[in-house]
Amino acid sequence: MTSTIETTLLIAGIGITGIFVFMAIFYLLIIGLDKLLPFEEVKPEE
Amino acid sequence: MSGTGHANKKISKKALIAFPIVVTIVAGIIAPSSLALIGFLMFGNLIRECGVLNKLSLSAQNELASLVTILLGITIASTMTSDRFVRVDTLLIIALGLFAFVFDTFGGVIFAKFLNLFRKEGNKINPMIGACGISAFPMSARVIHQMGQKEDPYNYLLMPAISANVGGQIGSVVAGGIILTLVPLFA
Repeated sequence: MTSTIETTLLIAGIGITGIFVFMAIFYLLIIGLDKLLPFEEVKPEE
Repeated sequence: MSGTGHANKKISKKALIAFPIVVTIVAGIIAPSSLALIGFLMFGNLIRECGVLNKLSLSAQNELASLVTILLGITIASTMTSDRFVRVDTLLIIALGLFAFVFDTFGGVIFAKFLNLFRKEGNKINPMIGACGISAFPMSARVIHQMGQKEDPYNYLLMPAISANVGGQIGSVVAGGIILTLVPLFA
């Protein structure tokens, strides 16, 4: 295996891991935002 | 089998406005090269959700989007001279792109099936949603929705499919940012 392919696979590996880490953060971020700023029903004034 | 398990969940206005701002900051910290792309994507989201820039939002969604598409197409087409474009490398790049799309679709379905192994019965994700986790927005979501409806006319997959599709878009931008950051380090 040439060093170029090895480097390519290394970059691809880091990139894919990075995406999974980012998507996990992204998921936690959405859950956090939903917990932090929950939906409140606005009652019409009578 | 449900789409997401959280159908019709209401989200507060504050969360909708905070979302693009927080995503831009987090993506900028993780992959600084992706900041321009993610920033513009989230800017569009922000002007739509803030509720006070409706005119700008409508212009961005319609006239501006069409203008930018035409301008981008013309700009790219003008650089596609025969000596640069009619080459074997072009076919190889198209083949690589096709392989990436096929594998992405396949990988998404398999990953959704894998996630279903850990989800309770009745709260499982439709594996077809996994196929939308690519940057081809919004066509992949539309195709999956149509395919779902062909099997069962009561199967309404559009919203969860679009969500996965947007996730795929954001993921692609961040992946591009990470690769752009990493490649010079190894060159």
